[in-house]
Amino acid sequence: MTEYRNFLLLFITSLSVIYPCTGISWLGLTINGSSVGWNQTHHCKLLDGLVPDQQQLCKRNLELMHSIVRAARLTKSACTSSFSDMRWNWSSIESAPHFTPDLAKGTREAAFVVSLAAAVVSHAIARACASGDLPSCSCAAMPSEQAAPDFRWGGCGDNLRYYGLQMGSAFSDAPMRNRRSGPQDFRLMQLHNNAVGRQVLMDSLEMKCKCHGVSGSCSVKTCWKGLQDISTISADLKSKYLSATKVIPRQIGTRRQLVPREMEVRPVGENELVYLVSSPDYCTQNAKQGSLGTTDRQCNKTASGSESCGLMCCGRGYNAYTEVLVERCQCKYHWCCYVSCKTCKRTVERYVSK
Amino acid sequence: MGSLSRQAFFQELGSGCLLPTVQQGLEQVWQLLLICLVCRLSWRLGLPNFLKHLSTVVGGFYTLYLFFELHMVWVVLLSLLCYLILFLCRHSSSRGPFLSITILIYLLLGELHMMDTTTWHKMRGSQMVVAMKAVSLAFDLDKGIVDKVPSPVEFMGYIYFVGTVIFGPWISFNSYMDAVESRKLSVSWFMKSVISCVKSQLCLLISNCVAPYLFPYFIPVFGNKLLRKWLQAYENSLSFHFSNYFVSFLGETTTTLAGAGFTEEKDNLKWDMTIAKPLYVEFPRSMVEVVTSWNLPMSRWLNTYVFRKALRYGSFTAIIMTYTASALLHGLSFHIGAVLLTLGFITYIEHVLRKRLSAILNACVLSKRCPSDCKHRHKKELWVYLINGTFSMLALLHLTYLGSDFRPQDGVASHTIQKWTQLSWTSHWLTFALWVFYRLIL
Repeated sequence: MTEYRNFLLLFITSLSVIYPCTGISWLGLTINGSSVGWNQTHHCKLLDGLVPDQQQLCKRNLELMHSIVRAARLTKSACTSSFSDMRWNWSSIESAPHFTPDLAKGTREAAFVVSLAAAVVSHAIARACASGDLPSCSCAAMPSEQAAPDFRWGGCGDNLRYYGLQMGSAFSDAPMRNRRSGPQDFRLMQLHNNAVGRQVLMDSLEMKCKCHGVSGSCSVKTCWKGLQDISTISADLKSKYLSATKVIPRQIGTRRQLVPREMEVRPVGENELVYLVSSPDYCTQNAKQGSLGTTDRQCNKTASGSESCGLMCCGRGYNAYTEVLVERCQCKYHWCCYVSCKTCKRTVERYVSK
Repeated sequence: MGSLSRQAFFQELGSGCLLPTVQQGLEQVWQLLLICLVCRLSWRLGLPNFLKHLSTVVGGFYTLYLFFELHMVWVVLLSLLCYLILFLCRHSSSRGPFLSITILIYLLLGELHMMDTTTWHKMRGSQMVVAMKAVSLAFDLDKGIVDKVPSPVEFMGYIYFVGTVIFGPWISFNSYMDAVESRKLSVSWFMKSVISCVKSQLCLLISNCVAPYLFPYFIPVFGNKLLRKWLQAYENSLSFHFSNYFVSFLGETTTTLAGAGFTEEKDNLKWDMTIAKPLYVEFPRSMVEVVTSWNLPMSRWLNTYVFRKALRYGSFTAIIMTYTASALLHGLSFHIGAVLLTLGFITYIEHVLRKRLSAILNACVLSKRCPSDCKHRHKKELWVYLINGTFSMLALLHLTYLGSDFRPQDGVASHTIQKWTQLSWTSHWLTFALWVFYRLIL
């Protein structure tokens, strides 16, 4: 059995090398996607990031592309801020549409980026829809399922459910429905993680409700869409990343499914990120594993978590240097309506890994 | 990638919060307003009083059903129980106390046994108004202010008066009977209704869409960790305040629209019902002023039927009993009980301290504003303003502290304790310090 697994793993690795992952290749749109006007169908073929199905989607929905380019940009910045305290160097995401092995293989890091990208693209489309930038969508109809008997529907807040998720799903899932994108197990993993990302997005956009009544009773309840940041979604997915489950493929009946590698008695949860390949420790530079190492990475001497110098530097120690910061201070608000600040200089000590 | 930019925030706020809030605010109350108006118009038709009472009972039942559906039976049961007690004790002179105890038992049983918290919580406002009406009627009968037990249809008309049955406020039985006389339709009546309605929607918007995002979007104050806790507490507090004003102005609207809520002096009719005074709460002189300005009819009720009757046991006891009664009317919520009891101590200590300072300094520094002809020597000196200003700031801090955790649906005790711990029990400590100071200057 162990030999079979080893063989299978080797086989998957070989296939991954032969067919580079294109599930999130569209993140490469940030490179030159913003310089294109997206008003002619031939623009869809100019860029590297799109697979054939996505090109078709692009041609039929040119107006979506601005949102998708924006989503690619947002995904990269959210990824950057989420992982600044981790050893894994997120800069490899900048090489999209061609990825180094840390993202090209079915690693935990790839699971995070894939799910985040799926969430952000749906979010961006939904917001464009809500703001009226997309002529092809309109205010959502009254949902058939009522949240509660006294729940009243309020406005266009729910464009996410019907248009953002649908179009976002069509776009981000498209590469994985193509057999040439990689082995089936890899595609199943990506599709699962895409779904997790969208679910996190859905959960974060719950309605906020408030009660009004005599002395705080609940005679009248008003509900509205809560304002959400991408950083909220990103933080949620990061915690799922930290508790992600390693899976192996298994034939169950006529279908191939992913099941947890360790405890083989339970199915994979719908809210769990999954990965196929274990990650290196990212301490030293190793091109084969896509590890850039932590040398010269900034760390926090006083912290105790993953950003601490002890963990970030993998025990190699760190160097200290000073930096002069120029920042705004003594800000005052002037009625109405602007803020004026003075400029101050502050010297801080920084630490980087050896 | 931080929070939304300011411009993006305001765009999001408009479509995501302002619009849905107004839409839902009107959607849920337009039928109530319509029924109030129909009731008012029908009373102008010259119907016999019997039919007038009956029409408002029908309107009241319908609005109760609109808001609470079948759960309205609990309100109906309470009113039937009240009438039964009044009828059975019609020859007694202690109807007030007896009815009060009966209602208390009913409310406690309801709270503890009869149904799930969410449903009971929804109706609590209406139950409270019914209880207050019945108790006031009983005491007024004892004192002869109302000369005989009203007929069933009169009683039910009073209890289910469509103008006050959902959002209050409490009005006396005599006020209701005055309303049944049905004053002429007039521009000032209509304008009062419209203006109160507009005010209520404005307060709803502030409660939902402005207060929760006050810092740093509306007012660019960022602050350090400690200050941010207080800023957030202030936001929660403000949101709760404006929710109360929304309900108060809505109550003004429905009451006026239904034909009550006026004062009459020598043929001069004024549609001047006032339930809450927002400016006196948001820019308070003292906590005493805050407490009375929060809900004027309720203040009047508590003063008339609880405080004055308890005064024979001493002013401190009377104050505590008043706040206890208020807490019980609000239901068995640890949070509300804790807030009201704390409020009771705060107001009492502030009151006696300022009274003492006023005597020692011979200055206008009482909890309530001095009339212009008071005999204090010092009225407009700078240090008088400073003392009053200090107490105002204290009141603002108390309000922020007490209102920092109003999520009425979860009555978990530990949450209140936790929130007050986060704010270092500041108001409690300050109140204690003021009490020590008061004892020192006795």
